[in-house]
Amino acid sequence: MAQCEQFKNRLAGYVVGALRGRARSRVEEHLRDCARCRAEVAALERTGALLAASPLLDAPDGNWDSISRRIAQPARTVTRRLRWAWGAAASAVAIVLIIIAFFVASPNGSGPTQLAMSPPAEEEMAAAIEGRIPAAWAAPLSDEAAVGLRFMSTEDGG
Amino acid sequence: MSEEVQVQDLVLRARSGDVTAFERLYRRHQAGIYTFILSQVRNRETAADLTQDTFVRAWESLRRLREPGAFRGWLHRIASNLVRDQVKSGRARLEISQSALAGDGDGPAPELARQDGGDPWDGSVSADVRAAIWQALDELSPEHRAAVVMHHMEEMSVNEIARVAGVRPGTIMSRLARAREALRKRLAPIVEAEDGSV
Amino acid sequence: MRSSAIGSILLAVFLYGGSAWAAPRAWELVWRSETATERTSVVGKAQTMLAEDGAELSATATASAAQGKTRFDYQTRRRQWSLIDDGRALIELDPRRKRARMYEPPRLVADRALAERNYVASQTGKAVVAGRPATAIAITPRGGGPAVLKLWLDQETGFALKRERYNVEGKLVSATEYVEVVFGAPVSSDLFTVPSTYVIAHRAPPRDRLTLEQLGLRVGFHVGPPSYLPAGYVLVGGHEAQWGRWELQTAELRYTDGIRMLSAFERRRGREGSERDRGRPGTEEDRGGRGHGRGRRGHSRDERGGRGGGHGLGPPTQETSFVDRGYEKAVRYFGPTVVVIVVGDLTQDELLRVARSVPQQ
Repeated sequence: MAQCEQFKNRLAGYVVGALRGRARSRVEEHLRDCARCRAEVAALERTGALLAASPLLDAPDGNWDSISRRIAQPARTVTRRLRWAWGAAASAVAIVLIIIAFFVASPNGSGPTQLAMSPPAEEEMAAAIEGRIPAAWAAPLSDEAAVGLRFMSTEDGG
Repeated sequence: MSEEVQVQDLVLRARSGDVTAFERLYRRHQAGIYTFILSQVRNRETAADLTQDTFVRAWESLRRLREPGAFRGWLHRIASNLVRDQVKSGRARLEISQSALAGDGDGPAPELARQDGGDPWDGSVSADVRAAIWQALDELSPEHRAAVVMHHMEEMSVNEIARVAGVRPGTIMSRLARAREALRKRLAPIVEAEDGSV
Repeated sequence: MRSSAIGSILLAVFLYGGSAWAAPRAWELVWRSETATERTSVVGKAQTMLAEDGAELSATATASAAQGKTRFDYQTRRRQWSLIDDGRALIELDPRRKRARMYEPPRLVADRALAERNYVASQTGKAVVAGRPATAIAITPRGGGPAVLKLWLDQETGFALKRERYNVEGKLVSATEYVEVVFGAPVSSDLFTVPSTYVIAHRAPPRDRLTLEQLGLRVGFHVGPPSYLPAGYVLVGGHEAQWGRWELQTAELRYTDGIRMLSAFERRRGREGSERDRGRPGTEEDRGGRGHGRGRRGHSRDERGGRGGGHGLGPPTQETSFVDRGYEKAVRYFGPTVVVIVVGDLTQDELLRVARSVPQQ
């Protein structure tokens, strides 16, 4: 019984297969005699089984479409075709023309930015708020020490 | 062809621009990556976005993958880095929604088939248990949670996980052991059910 | 002649001697405090607090300043970090990972006349802070309302030993108080540089201050300023805003009233009404019991409809949303062609009024 104290901490290691050689066989020996530790090992193993039976979650349906659109950028394709057709010198002109075309076309909402996704509200506003932090620091009469607290990230990433 | 060889073949084809092959890689790996990311950022919207970003980045840097066989681990590395950047930028400070994770809701369960017509869910784990599992996972540290998700849910080997996390396999083992202890305590009522039902 | 000359000298002595009826203007003390670290070095320890989202962030910071440069070394129970302002860039140091991030904030030229036009500064008494005699000053909006700023300035150096900042609703949103301070001690200039062992992990590009025309060219659409602004605010300039991984070209118009800063962000609408834009659980617009399906695979209901199209399973997604951080609030407003986000220390109503007054195209 007293021995259980020693082995208690090693059972999880045993169950995940972290123990080797003598350490492992010592635990196995103890388990032969100790019903309590055997029950604990069983519980630990059942926990593992539970986790293994928990299904993976699928990404939302539209994800692939977004990905395929992002990996097949129209601008790049156009540039490549023009490059083959016109040769190196003319491709520079072509690129400039494309850029101008975007600026001309954008006000009508036909540029590629029009296809970009709208961020969720909280994220977009958080980005707006956080983007102003350096300016808040530099603003006249700002409490720099307090603004500096905003650099503290929420998670203790350390 | 074995699973691994299939994946390698798809990777080689995707590398030379075959989008269909890449789509198949996506179908195979999306649930693992999405679940992995979701367990870290705890928000579906963000997880969906980061999943997209992971695959887009993978497509863009496929040439840099030296071992096509290590595709899954490599994908996880990309996902891990994106999650880390997300957290650091402070934008991941979104509240966890327990019910969202477990799929509880106000409405009836919709009939949803998986995209590739894979095996239907066989109902071995009830919604309550799934909720309890995710809640328990949430109490682990991010590193422990990542190890558990990769090992138990995605069935990745300890060596593979070690390469993703950039630590020694022994460290992963001890994380798994510590996590197992914590989860066992946290899930005690379920785990200790006498009749073994879940 | 001589008596009037003596009289003038005496008068001059009185005026410069700082006696009660000829005390220096409170505003002069305020501006003097802004440049105190150019005249003397400062080494000290300050308790600082920020009220954010209803919770309080606080830390003890070690402060060092000299030649107009400043450094704060923060220590909380869980984290340590440092911030350096070397006059050009703002540098964030992560001592654990040995990483530095650099930001180059556009230095808002301290338009003192603007601040003095919109606010009143008055001396409210004397106090002792960090063991030193200090003059207390309150800055209040000229049109009335609670103080925006309270300062306790060291009588000898003019340095701000204590600051309290209040939001437009009169709530204390930040406070810094020195508990120890030493003036004139030698301060190494190495303190204000990035240690050579550090890696510069991120460098935000300098933010140009652009005219509206230049900004319009950069973002690809005509940027129209809001026609309504709260009293006293003037346009400082425009910037291209960086939204990180969102590929949405956004213009930021920045305004100041001399003390507070207001930003109006504009962008053209993206692909609204897709499943991603249906908000997350917990945002204002979808708390109406939309819920997520009890999907066996964990799908959420609204994701079933596929992307594109504005007709989803939930309520409309282009609703106005608000965020209140305490020291400032934000609103996101969807106009027919332009999405506007306004951030600043204003009431919700004012924020929305500004947002709605941006011309839609």
